[in-house]
Amino acid sequence: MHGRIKVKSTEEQKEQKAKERAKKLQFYQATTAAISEKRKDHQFDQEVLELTGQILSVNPDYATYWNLRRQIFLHFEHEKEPEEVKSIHQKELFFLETCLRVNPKSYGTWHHRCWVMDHMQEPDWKRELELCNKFLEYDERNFHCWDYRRFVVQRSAVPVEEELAYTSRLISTNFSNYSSWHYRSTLLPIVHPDHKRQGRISEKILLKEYELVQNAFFTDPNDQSAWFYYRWLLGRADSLLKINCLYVNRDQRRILVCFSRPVNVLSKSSKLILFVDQKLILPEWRPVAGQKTYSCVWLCDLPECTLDNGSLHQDIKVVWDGDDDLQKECTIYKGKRESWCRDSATAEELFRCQMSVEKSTQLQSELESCKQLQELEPDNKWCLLTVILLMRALDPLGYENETLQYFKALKVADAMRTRYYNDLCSKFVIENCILKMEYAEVRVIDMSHKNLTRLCYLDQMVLVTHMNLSGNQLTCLPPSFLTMQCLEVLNADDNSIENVSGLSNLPQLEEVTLRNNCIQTPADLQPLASCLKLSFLDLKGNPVCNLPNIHSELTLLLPQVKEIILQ
Amino acid sequence: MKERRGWIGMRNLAAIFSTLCLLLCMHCIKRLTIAFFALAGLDMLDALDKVDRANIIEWIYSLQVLPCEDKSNLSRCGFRGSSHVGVQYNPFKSPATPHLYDSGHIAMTYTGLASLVILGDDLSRVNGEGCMAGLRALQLEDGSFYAVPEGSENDMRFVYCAACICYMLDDWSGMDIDKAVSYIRRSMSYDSGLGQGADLESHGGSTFCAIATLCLMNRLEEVFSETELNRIRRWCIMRQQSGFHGRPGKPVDTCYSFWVGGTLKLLNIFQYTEFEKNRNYILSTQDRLVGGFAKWPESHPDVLHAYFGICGLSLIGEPGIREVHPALNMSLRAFEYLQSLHEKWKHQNSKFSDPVTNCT
Repeated sequence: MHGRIKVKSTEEQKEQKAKERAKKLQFYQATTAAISEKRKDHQFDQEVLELTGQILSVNPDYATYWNLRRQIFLHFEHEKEPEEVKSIHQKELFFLETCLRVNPKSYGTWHHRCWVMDHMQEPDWKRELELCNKFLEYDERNFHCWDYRRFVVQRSAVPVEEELAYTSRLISTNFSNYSSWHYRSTLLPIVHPDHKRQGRISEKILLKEYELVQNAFFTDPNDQSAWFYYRWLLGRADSLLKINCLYVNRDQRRILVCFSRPVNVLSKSSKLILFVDQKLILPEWRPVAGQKTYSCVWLCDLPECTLDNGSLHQDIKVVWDGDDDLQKECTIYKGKRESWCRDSATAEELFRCQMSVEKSTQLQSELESCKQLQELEPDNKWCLLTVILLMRALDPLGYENETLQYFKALKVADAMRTRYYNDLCSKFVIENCILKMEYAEVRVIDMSHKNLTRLCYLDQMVLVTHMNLSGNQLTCLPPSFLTMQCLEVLNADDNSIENVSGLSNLPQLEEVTLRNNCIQTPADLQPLASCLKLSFLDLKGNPVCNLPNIHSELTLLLPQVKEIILQ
Repeated sequence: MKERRGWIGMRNLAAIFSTLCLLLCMHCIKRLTIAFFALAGLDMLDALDKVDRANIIEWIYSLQVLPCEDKSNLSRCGFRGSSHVGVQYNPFKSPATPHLYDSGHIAMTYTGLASLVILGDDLSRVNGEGCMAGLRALQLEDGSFYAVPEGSENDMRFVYCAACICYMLDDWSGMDIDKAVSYIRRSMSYDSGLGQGADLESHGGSTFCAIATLCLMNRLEEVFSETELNRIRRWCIMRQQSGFHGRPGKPVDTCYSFWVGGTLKLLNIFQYTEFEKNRNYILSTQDRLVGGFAKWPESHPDVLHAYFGICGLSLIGEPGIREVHPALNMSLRAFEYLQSLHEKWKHQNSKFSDPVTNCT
């Protein structure tokens, strides 16, 4: 099953082939039978080595026979003199090499070689490294060989710096060397670690590495490997778990906690503890999206009189007692309906890293170079993606319009992935909307007329009261919309929305307009029944409006809504 | 030029069926995996009525490595690939005489169980205790699995096999889930694909194995953050060239239409792929004479690529092919049958002890 190409042959050739196959089959069956016999009689000798060798050189995937050879060698190690054992091991290495030439991708062969090397008294690791070099010259993408190389390096304690130098040599002779870049990515963080960010590289080396990669993709812009490596260099370390928002609502007697990634508050190993004025309260937490075990946003209802309006202020604190120790506090003052404490996406570097002047300057000049390259190679999608990436990393708001232009070009250069790029663009646009909202320090977000094909980062919008989604290409308001716990007014006009499953149990939602969408039946609006404060609903321009008796049906379904507009 | 759907079906039927009759000598140690591809393929084409189910079920059970009377070989139990070791034919659940060189092989246990499910067997003759013990004996400290108790290579393929075995038997005591999860996390590469293990190059096959394993464990969103999942999505969606390849810089290959396509389906963005180009590539690898798919056009077809070609077409909704369950790698019909078995076991459990783990 290794991709053999079909070759035409004459009748005579076919007959000859058939005879050869029959002979091979007979030999194969006779040999395996002989091996079975000897094994049954516990005869571990040279002859079995011969017989298994004959099978394995043709079919190296016969794992049982590799096992048998190992058994024989163990037997020899007991019975024979060390000198003889040494020569047997050497012969085996030679035999393995011939097997590898026939099939350099056999798991069994490489695995057996590891075993033999581990059992030799004086293994020659340098020679093994040379063997790897040779095989990687034939096929640099042979991951079995790379795996074996790692084994050799580890066993013989080759200094990491030497291996790093090896990758430098490979890359300089042939930039198009995906596996070398990959190997380099595993070595660099060990040789030049960034002490502040685990798994990342120190800045000085990082800047040099940018140069190296730039040279690579300017030499051959069509090779993916350098582009992927560059992307990795530009990337950020993964963030730790944090509580990024604590929200208290006095009227609803409700507390909302938002984590930076999904957690299970109800698991045995971690607890979310609540203190009101230093008094411990153990509420029943529930995820904002009903059935999920893991959720970013968790809610609880407070017992009556917990948040009375008597004292001047009350201190609310949550403590996450899991693997990480996290907490968040806020104070709610007398007369105030609500209070919160939220980390901004900007401060938390959620969308991009803060950069030193050196890094910023260098990346700026690299952006200019990439733009020039893009003019020479207009069809190159990697170049376009990298330009977009650099603009997002340097100044997402400043480069907003230019980024959109480059996305247009990207969808032409790589039309096959148009829908994916639309989604990616939506994501970047929403990031910018959030940044703008934070900058203005308001709780109103305007995402209208931005060609959005999907919604994301809704867990960053927990405090939003007014949202404008009109004039986009959304087809649904999905369950992730349930995080919009403070939402009061929603404008989702002029989309293609058929499904509003996320518009349920939103306790503050009062006004919704869904004009010119694709709502088909009253059942589609069922989720709204649980939005108890909903008083205004505009459905003009939806197919559902043309159904007979629709107004009375909707009044029955949504009794809390005082005004339902259908035309 | 569009192929007529009936033509695809019948030609592939012929190819797969004839393979069942001519199980290749060279692959005898993994004969059971070949049977799996053939049976699963026939199921996807709604053509299992063409095989002698009862006989094949007997044969599969004969490959079970059962515990002996004193259970001294418990950690070597499971299913073997074929009768090549020379153990006496025994399709019954009765205790066996242990053979020195006989043991289960993780991929055979997986495909053996999957084949039984596809054939509609109720798994009542499966020795659950043996399978679980055999599985536990194969897991390493780093969370990955060997294929056989004597040792072998260890990588993501066998992690996936282990997860499928536990899932099908509805018993996760066969593995340390947390260790396996940690192995998966550590196999993520700098480009956000997943390799066969830590520090290894990202690969479409191992990425599927990792993601499907997490889905079977129902832990996908717990183990990877949304950011990480987005990066994995990006790596996967870039694998489409016409059909799909398994790694950057490599040629496209029919089976990746399932490995990568299935992963994209599990990550909810398969709908963003280009269906027409994918379909045309898969069909271009079809053999005009005997049917079946090959990895490349003008190459010899084989049962593995035939099966994955069919699954690749199923993902894009090709008429005449059943829906596939990407995580468990079988038809949705077979998956739903398995669900009904699990329901039955739960119900019986509330009254008696689990029949799957009884020895007699």
